[in-house]
Parts: sequence; structure tokens; C-alpha cells
Amino acid sequence: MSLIEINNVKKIYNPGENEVRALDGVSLKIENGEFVAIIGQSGSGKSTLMNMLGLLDKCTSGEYYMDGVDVSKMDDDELSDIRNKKIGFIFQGFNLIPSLTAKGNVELPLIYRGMKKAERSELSTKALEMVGLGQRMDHLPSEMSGGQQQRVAIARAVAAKPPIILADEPTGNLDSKSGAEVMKIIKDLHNGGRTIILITHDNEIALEAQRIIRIHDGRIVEDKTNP
Amino acid sequence: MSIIENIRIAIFSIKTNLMRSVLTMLGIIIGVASVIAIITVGNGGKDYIVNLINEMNSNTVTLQVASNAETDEYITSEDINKIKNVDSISYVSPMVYRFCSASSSENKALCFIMAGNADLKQLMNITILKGRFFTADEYRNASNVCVIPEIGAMTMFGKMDCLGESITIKVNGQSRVLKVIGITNTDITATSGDTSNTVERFEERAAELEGDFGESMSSTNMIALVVPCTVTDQLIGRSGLYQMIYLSSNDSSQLASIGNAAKNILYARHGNFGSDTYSVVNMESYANLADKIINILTTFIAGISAISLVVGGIGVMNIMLVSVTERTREIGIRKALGAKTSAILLQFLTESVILCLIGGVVGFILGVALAAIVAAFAGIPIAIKLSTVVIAVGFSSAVGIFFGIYPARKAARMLPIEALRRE
Repeated sequence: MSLIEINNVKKIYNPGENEVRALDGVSLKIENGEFVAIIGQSGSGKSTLMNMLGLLDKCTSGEYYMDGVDVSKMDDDELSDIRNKKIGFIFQGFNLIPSLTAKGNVELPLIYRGMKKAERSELSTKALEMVGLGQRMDHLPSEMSGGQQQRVAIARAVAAKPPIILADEPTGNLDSKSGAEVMKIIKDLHNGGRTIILITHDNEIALEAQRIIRIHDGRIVEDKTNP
Repeated sequence: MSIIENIRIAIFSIKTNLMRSVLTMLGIIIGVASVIAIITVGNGGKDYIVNLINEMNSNTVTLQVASNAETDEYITSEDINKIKNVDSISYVSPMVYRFCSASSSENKALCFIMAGNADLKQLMNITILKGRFFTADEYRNASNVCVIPEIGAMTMFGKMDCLGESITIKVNGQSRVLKVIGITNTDITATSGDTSNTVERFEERAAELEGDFGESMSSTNMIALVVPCTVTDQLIGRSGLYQMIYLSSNDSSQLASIGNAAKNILYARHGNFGSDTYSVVNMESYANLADKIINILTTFIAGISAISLVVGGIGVMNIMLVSVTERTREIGIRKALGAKTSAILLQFLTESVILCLIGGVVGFILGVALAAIVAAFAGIPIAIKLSTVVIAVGFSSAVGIFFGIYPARKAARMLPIEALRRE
């Protein structure tokens, strides 16, 4: 049983004459512990695929199994629950809540999991130390650099120990030094046993992954193992 | 997501947009303050008036014969004797009001006559300064005597001490010379429960009475006299038939029961059970009436001020909608991280309820202060009741929930991806 299995997934905007087929029949299997890069140019449909895989959006048609469970027919609250327990998100724009401190941001998914305060505090502290921000836990996002903010976002993604990390252009907004740091952390996470799905337009970054899936016009055009 | 967490988020958000939050709360503050001020002043005024009424003649019950009753249903002297036999009834007297002209050797005046038997002294709480009240014998014999208030004495004789002087009264063309046997300082017209409009009636009658004077009454003096009702009976030409009696008990808790006892005796003696011929009026019923009127007024005015609460509530809704729009991205992030619809709903609902509750508390304090100022000017006490506090808190949280639900639902139902895309 694959960790993720999608069959013939379509996402069609404006059905009818001016329809846009963002995803046009994508089928894909991802196994536990894989490091997969999904690569494509802007407009290729890779972000739509990422939103679909991350259960942030609903597909027009097709099937989606996670751990063998059909998640394509779940309601809003059930999807929230799955996202909370199984997926850690790393976004290009960090998506931190500006009014919360680094620690407050990292604790968010733990709060929604219903975790007690002491446990939350312990896990978030550990996660922030892991990304090298043990000294900046009480800083607001506005008081940190882009690289630091992205590391907070990574800490948030991993704090609840979800099996899947979904990273959407994680280095897109960062300078090369910070980008390298972030990539190193992601690779470490993979080495720690996590399944990583990395979405990027950058071939060089994609080369860090074990498996590279190329997407073009809403279809998978290449799926190869990185030698 | 615990309630405490939500409250923390809400307070943080209110603090971040302090100016906006305060302006929003202002609507709630004004609404709650006006409702509370009106209810508090209303309650205080009610207590004050009810106390005032209870202080007046609180031991006296008035029993009236309906105005459309037949003459044979009127209360007779024998009825009064029977009523007096009831154990708990201490005093009973007929009560006859009459307007007439009066003259002394010195002056003339319009005269308000109040007539009854010897019990009238106790029933009306008449204090005698000089001389005495008329006796039961003088009542029986229809002696030509009267008790005059000191103001009347000054009017008629130009002096206080007028015991033994004579006053001539004229009713229906018949005249009678009365001897002054007592002087009182009791304001007779004020102590009689049913004569609040005496002066008005007095003035209405003035024109009719002018004939008895035979001259203009433009500079009319007015006096009041207390006489035995047997005297007025003779003047009117109707013996021992009365339309109103006063009764009292030494035990004020017995008021309702003595009124009913007297009524039952009358119905039994006149054989007209089932009719509405006799009715009891005591001060308690006046107090209840005043209570009712003030309640209606208070509710009415409070209702009008509640409109400002609705306006304030719409302000809260408006600000919450702005808040939702501003934080669409935050909602998206929270949903992506696993927030359920209910968690988002609760978060925004908490914020609007807290906004309204703070407004409610401030409004309550302001309202009580306002009431205290108004009450100080009006000379009435203020009465803060637990129910008022409950109304203030309940009202403002209800406004918060009612006007918060729409924006909160709007926030909670967003798809995470739609919310995340919004900048």
C-alpha cells in the first residue's frame, strides 16, 4: 500500500468554453520515505498538484488514497484533521501568522490537535532548536530574516511529526545561502525517515531529490529516479 | 483549541486595532448605558413613589358604591353598625363630600365639607390643636358643630383661636349655623385618599355656587370643614344613605380582608350578590397601579434605547467583517494547519462577544453613574438590581453573538486554498 496514490486526477477551472485544465488526468504513487521533487514551469500545474496532494483544494474528478483511505470524498473538517495529523506544509511565502511569536506559530498545529500546553511547549521548543532557532523563540516574524522565517515554518511543519512534508518552492524567496541551509534541513528530515514532496521550478534544487517528476500542461511528462 | 486560547487571540486582536475596537465598542457602551440608566432610575422612582403612597393613610380602606347603583343599594347607618361589629375592623365612618358657601361675621369663602361620624378623627388621622373633635352623641343628635383647619380659621376670623365662633354654611338654599369646636392642623383635603382632584372640583363648582353669594367670586377664599354627616344629611334631605365609607384596622395586614368582609356584609344585607355594586379601594391598589404605570414607562423607554444597542451591534458586525477580510490569509493558514470550521467560528465569535462584553461592562458603569446623577437632581434614590446587571451582561453578549455569527461563519467556511491565495 502506497502512502499516497492518486488516479486520473483532474482539476478544471471554468468548465465550459474557456476551461483551464490545470491538472489533466494525473496518476501518481508515492511510497513512504521517498524524497520526490515535482518540477515544472510556472503554469504547468505543479502548484495545483501540490494543493491537491496537500488536501488544500478539491479536485474536479479522480481518486486520492492516503494510506489506503479514500480522502477525495471527505468533508471539510475531516480534511482538516488529516492535514493536521499527516502533512507538514512549507510554503514559498512562509505563511507565518504575523501576530504570533516563532513559538506561537510552531504551536499552532499542536493546538489544533488538542495537545496540552506543557507537551506543546516541549515539542515546539525541540522543533525550533532543531532548525537552529532556539534563541529566537519569542521573536515575531517581522523581527526575523527570510531564512529564519522559513526555518520557523519548517519547525512548524515538523513539530507535530507528520509523515509527509509538503514543500512548495521552499527556497523561492530566499538568498542562496539561506536557501542552502533550508535545503540541508529538508534533506536531514528525509534522512530521518520523513516522506518529502518538494515542488520547484529549479532543476538544481530538484536534483537533491531521489525521484524527479516533471509536469507540463497539467500532465506528468517524466518520472525518473535521480541517479 | 481551548476557550482560553480563543480569548487570548481575541484580546490580542482587539489590542492590535485598539482605536477601531474602542470606536466599535462605543455603540455598545451608549446602548447599554442608556438602557441601564433608564432601568435604574425607573426602579428608584418606583420604590420612591410606592413608599410615598404606602406612607399615606396606609391603614385606611375606602369602600365605594358604584355610581350606577340604586338608592336602596346605598350604604345605610345600620350597615355601618354591622360592619363595625367585625372584630378586625376598628373604625368605620361614612364619607360625605360637599361643596357649599360659608360665611362668618368677618369673611366669606367657598367651603369643602367633609362629613362622617366620630370615627373620622382616627380614620383621617386628624390632629386637634385646640378644642376637640365632635363626639358620637353630637353625631347622633346632628349637632351643629364643626372642626376647622387653622388656615381656614385665619381666613374666616383672621385669628387662630376661634373656638366657639359661628360659621354659616349654605347648601341647596338651606343654611345652618355651625359652632367651631375644634381646630386642626391636618390638611384635610390631602389626607383623604380620593380627593386628589378636590381643588379642581372645587373650582368647577365655584361658578355654580356664585348664586349663593350673590356677588362675584373672583377673589374667592377656600376653606375646609369637618362636620357630622347627620348635619349634611339634613341639609341634603337624605337620611343615612351613603355612597362611600372609610374603614380601618389596627393591623395593617388585615386591610384586604376587612375590605372584603365589609363588602360581603353589604352584599348580604342588600341581597345583591354577584353585582359589582361595592368596590374596595385601598392604598395598596394605588401603589400597585403606580408600580404598573412606571413599569410600562420604563420598559417603553428602555425599549427605545435598546434600538441604539442594535445599531451598536451592526457596528460590531461591520468591524468583524473587516477583521475577517483582513485576516483571510491567517484563516487560510490556520485551516491548512488543521483548524476545523468550528475552531475558526469560535475564534471570531469570541472576539465579537468580548468586544461587546467590554462595551457592556463599561456601559453598565456609565449607566449607573448617569442614573446616580439624574436621581440626585430628581431627589430620588437609585436602585441597582441584580436583574439589571444580568440584563446588561446578557444584552451585550447576545448582541455579540447575534451580530458576530455572520462574519464568523463567513470566515469559517472559506476553503483553505482560497484563503491562502488572498494577499
